[in-house]
Amino acid sequence: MTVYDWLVLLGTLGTIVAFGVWKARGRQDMESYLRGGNRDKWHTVGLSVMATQASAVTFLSTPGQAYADGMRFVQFYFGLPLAMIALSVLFLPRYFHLRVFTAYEFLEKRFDLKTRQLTAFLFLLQRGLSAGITIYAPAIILSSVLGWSVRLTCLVIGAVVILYTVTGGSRTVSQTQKQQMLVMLGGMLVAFVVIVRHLPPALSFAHALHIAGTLGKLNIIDVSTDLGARYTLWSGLIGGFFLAMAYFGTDQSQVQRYLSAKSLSESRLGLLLNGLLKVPMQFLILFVGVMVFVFYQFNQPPIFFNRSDLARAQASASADHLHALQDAHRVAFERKRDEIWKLDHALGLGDASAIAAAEYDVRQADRTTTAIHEQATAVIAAAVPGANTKDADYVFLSFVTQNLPRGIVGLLLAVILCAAMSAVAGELSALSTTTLVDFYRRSFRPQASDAHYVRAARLFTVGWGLLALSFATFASLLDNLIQAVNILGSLFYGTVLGIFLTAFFARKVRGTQVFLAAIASELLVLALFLRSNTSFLWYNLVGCVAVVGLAGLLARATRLARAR
Amino acid sequence: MASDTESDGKAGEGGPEPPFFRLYAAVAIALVLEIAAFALLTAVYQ
Repeated sequence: MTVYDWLVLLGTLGTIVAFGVWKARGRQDMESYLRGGNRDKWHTVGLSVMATQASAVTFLSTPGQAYADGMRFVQFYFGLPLAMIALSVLFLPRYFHLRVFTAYEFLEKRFDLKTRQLTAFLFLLQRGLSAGITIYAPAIILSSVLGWSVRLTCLVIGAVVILYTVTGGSRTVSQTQKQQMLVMLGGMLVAFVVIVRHLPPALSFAHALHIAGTLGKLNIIDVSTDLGARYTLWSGLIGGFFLAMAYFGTDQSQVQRYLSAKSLSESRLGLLLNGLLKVPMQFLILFVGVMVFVFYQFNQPPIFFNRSDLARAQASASADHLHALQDAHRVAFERKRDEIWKLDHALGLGDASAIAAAEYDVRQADRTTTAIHEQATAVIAAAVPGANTKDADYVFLSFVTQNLPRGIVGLLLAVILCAAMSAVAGELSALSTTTLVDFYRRSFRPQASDAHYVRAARLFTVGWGLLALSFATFASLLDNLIQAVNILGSLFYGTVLGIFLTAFFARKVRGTQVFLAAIASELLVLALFLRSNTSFLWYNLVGCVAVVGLAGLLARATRLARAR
Repeated sequence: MASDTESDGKAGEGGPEPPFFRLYAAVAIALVLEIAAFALLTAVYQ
């Protein structure tokens, strides 16, 4: 990090935070603190919805995922634009009509208090845990670049976010998220252009794509019907649709973003902007990863991208073994690079049989480098207890810090920190609002003054922030938990969506019936998770359909019993 | 968008305002075109 990078990084972050706090200046009541005074326009809503979803991991891991596994992950987002349309038609008018602060308030109006508080509790449980992870996951990686400890990195991210979320409330969160999202989109476009310019001048863009495709990185669409395959066209369209419906329609961290809109129309336009931009944005991020992959076909990559774990392994008893593997990796890389240039030459000639032969040789050479990388990973895992062996997470940042010009490094670190901050701010604001509105005001202090509730909301924000920080800073053995918390979200979303859809469309179902159906459906999803290898995207569909179906059956059974 | 804003007052009862149907269609068509482009890219280079 040069002084230019620090200037760009701190200048970008400082300006955004100062602007957000300035926009929310003045005396605040509950309406303005929790709903931003309903002043946000559609572009602020759309960008803040996108910024809430985009965590730092989106920008750190997604390019690495494309590097290692290709672009199939983009299918995960195919259901999202359709969900934005469905939410605009079905959910938004109801929320705006009832003028709710949280999505869960609606459930009490439709069913009863226990259904509202069960759903709000499920939200607090999963979002409270994931707020810690949202801080911790990027801190592990950023700490290695900034030269800080993981704990200090967590503290800096968390403290800044708590400070401006507490100070300005929902309006500051929306305003900062809008600027942060613009920095993220702009930063990734700059990254893409700079990376393409780093490819060998003799290599055309079309040939770069052909090389990526030959090595399996342009596997964007998969039409297989295997339920165990994590990302297919069908799981993305159907499972992804239900996941996006549940996340954007019932997760308060998102609902709060579009409830702060000036009007129903501005809110709808904001969601549609998200529906329009999300797939191209994810495509761009994955495509950046593919271009980084092509770059490393012509420039020697490290045998393991997580340099701190590599250094620890090199200082252990496995140093000689690792050294031998690094030599073998260098030789295998040079052979593969020669084969790739032969493929480039054959492509230039347009000779189909020479191209097919060259593609075969490139794939064979790639198998050798991959096998050596896997051996090195196994050696590092054995030599360094607790090593993070998924080094794809480090590919993008490693590339950025070692190859990009000064100033751009600072900009891309600002992109990642903006993503971390925007996601955490949205989560803390929503956690505080739900605690205040669905529990504190509803069950403990229903008649207090507006000023009292704003003070309480600030205290809840600090409380959730400190809880997330302690979870992030004192949990160094979280690798498996990160995965567990991600799956935790999908385990509950389907059920929660089912409760909302029942509320909207099954007019004869009562509170206790949907409450029992939700508990039975949750058990079904848990059984599916424990007893089958079904991809987690399908849990959203199963949970949702089970709640709607069981609640309907219970309502019918109750009516029949009464008739007798 | 003036007519959309005017209709907000009775948003709870009605369906989407007419101009929104065109926007919904635009978002859905954009998705179909994106998937078609991705399928083409996969078929050509994979």
